[in-house]
Amino acid sequence: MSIKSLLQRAGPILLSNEALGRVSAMWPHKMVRYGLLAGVMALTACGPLYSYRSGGEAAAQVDAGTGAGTVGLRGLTTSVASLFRPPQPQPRPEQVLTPEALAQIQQPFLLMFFGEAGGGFGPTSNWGGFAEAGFNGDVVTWVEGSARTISTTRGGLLLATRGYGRDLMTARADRLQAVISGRSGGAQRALRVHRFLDGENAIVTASLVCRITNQGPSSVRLLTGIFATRQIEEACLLADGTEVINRYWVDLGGTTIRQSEQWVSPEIGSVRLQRLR
Amino acid sequence: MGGSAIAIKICEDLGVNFAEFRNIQRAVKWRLITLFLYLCAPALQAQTLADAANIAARPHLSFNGTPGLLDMPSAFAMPDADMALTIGGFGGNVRGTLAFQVLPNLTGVFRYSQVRDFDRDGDRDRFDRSFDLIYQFRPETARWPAIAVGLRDFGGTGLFESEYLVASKTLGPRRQFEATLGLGWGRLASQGGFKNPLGILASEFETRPVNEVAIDDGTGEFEIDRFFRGDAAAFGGLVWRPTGRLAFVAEYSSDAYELEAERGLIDINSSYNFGVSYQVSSNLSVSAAYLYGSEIGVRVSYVLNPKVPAQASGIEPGPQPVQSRPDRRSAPQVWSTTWVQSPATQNALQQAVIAALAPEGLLLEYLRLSATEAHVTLRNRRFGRSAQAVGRSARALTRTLPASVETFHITLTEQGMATTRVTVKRSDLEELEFAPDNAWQSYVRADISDAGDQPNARRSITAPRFRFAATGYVESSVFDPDQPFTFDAGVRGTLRFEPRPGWVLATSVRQPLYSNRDNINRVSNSVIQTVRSEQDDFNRGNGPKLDRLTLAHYFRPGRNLYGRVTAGYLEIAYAGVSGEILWKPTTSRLALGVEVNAVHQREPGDVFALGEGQFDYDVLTGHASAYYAMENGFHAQVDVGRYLAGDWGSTFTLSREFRNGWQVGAFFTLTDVSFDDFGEGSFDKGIFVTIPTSWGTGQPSRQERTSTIRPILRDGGARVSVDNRLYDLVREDSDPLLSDSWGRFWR
Repeated sequence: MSIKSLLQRAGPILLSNEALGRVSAMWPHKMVRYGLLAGVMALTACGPLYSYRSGGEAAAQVDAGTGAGTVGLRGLTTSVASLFRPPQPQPRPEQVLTPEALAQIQQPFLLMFFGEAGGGFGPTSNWGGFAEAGFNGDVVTWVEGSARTISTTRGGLLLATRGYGRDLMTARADRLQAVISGRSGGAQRALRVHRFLDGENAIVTASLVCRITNQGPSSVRLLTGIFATRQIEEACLLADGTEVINRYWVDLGGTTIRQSEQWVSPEIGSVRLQRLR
Repeated sequence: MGGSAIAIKICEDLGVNFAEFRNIQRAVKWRLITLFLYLCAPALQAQTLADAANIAARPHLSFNGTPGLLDMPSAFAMPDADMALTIGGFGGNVRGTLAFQVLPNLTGVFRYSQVRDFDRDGDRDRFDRSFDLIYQFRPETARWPAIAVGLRDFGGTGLFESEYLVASKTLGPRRQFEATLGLGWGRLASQGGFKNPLGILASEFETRPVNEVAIDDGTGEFEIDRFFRGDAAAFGGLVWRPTGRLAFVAEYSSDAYELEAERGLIDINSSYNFGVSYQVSSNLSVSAAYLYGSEIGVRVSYVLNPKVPAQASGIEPGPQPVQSRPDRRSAPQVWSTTWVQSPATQNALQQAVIAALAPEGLLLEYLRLSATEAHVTLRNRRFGRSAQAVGRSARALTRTLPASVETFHITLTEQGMATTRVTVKRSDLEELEFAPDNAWQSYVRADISDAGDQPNARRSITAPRFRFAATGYVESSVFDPDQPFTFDAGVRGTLRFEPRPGWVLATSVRQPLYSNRDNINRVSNSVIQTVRSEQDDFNRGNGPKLDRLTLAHYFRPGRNLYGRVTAGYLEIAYAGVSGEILWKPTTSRLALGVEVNAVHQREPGDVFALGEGQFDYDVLTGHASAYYAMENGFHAQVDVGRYLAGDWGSTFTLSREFRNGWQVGAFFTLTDVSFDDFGEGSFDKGIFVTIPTSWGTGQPSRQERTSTIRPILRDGGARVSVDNRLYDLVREDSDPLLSDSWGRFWR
């Protein structure tokens, strides 16, 4: 059962794994929105300092911030009620991230979109906004308002996710990192290794055999402007024959990945990351 | 973890670096790459990625809830660990079945069936509990069919008692046909029976000893002497799957429903049955059938697999990231240790640690800081797997403690007693947070030891002394011989007072608001001391019930030893004193324990009174227990001792445990009470299923729910049920559970 499809499917509620999945699939909707607001608030009010909150508390703070009132009870009743109606369409990023809102964000800010059931990324993709939460060497951990996190290299190569179901525990793509940082040219073969936890808490390893190619210059339009980039493509093959294609649009003359589409796990599929700030 | 982790590591290092061989010829390089893929593919791809993808195609299920046609079995097996819940009914027969794939080739089945108007000349329904075992001794191959042998209703009353040998094969260019042919004995030879072919082995096989049990409800006994004896008959059928979801089924049944037909409960006009099945989702399937030329039947099956949690590895909030320290040379002031002398700083640090642990659901029990070391004792109230509690607290500490503190000693506690100490180096956390194989490396570098030298804290820093909760409840018992579902529902209040860590005064009181227990007025026909067969008396009525009121002390008598003393109203039917000592080294798969209880029966219907008259009974009961967690995920327990009725004997428990907390198991008790004296069922036995809450929600939780199903509760082999037995408390923090779920350290 893919999280991706869960996030998009609505339909009759059966007392099944899928139903349980759907219940929780209600969360990203709300959480993503709260997350973004919390992210914005954290950035504008307190700077990039990471204050750790559990999901409920984060949502509560946002609710309090927007004057929404009695949070606990409301949260409960809305989540029960949401069982009986299809999830509301999520606002699009541009509806929330108006130019005025974007002007408030001065710190690094990342958008993540989940792929759609049929593959690809459209306006209805589930998305979330992330602010920097911590640094360890070359790795940045980003946090959403629901306190779920992703970790990337400083450039933006996805290394880990936490809280999205079949999370990426660790990733290894040494060659790709070298290509993005310009230390090494394109047209390379490389091994990419993803690790997950299986249903019994054991580490499972996925190794992807990839071919990295430089696609040349290309420009990317984000909410914060148009960026000149060079595009790198990483076409990978999983052991079961599935092909996944990761794409990276790297700032010209820099190592920041402005936009990327990166495969996470069989259930989550690919996500699109956009580095707005 | 272990060998395979190392093999993967070597392959991975080779693989990630193979593109480095730049200065060699292209052809040679490609040959090297091919060789690498050939050698390493098995190591790297040993496991399928998605849990769900590990579940092979699920077989068609019969009305009996096992792989089969409609009323007849097939030889296919369910995927390993699959658990199928089926309700099927036709013509006054309703069968609820729980089938579990214990091993890839062994299926264990519990069935609860209702045959309407079966007893007392049509005045009373028969509620029957039965067990099946199915062994597939040959899985299907390209050329050969699957072959299985099954024992139906071998331990119950014998109403469905039958044995069969069956072969099944998928056929057709798109494998859309499944053909089944079998040979049945017992009930499965009641239609079209012929002389038992096993008669060539011994003529005894040709006659089946009479089983009176099925006719008048007497004792269910283990009667191996009837297996595969008497006439045999052939059965078979075909499943056609025109699409992946739809299946048409036709079968010839060798069951004549003699007992039911005799009573006029069913008309058997034909032995040919026809049905159609639809697979709604991978979990849910339904079917409808026209059976025996007279009846319409319906079946619904829900299949789940403990290895496939609803939310994969979880949807809980992410961990606090590790805060890496600046270099000591570039920022020496950060590494200063003058703070050690300042009580104010120490105090502020304690507050910071409390605040960092709080959002993780971890309570600080005890904290001691020196310039380079931190001793942190935790109470974990959130994480079902202790490795995650340790990992989260370690990362939280990197965000709060001064740079000079390099070593974290994290001690886990249960009920106030320190269990296991995990020592991690802060520099390892910094180095490994995003290392590709950080699970394995962090496990190797952590020092896991027994915390038995640490006395209970004198005062807990943050753990609340008082906890009070009022909740609604449903207290149920299922599969009573007279009524499938007995329960009372109402309000329950629980209070827990812990004046000092390890000393717990706990009580639980319930007030039923609705109860259907009064419908059962069966008087025990036990010929031995009644210790459990009058259990209903204790739950009946609308008065308040004192579930528990106990004072308990938990302590560590020494290394590898755990102790508990509990006194008071131990459970609904017994009051007294219970003491237990457990030996469980942190890294051992074996644990040994001794429990002694001096108890007096309580008075049914009274909150505090001790039993009088019939219930004026006291007994000294206790057991020596051995627990062993096997490497293949099975768990065995043997208890030897004196049971509640004063009978001596032993209990054997075997369960399959999944690392996510699921347990599915069975137990039986043999004591010096004879099968005849025991009464119906001959001896105490049952099955149990434990499901952790987190498996369904994807949120971490220490909650789990255990359901125990006994065909019948009688007086032989009964035990007093005391809260917080040590083994269950301790094993969560101890190997193999701790190391097996170490992958959650980085969650």
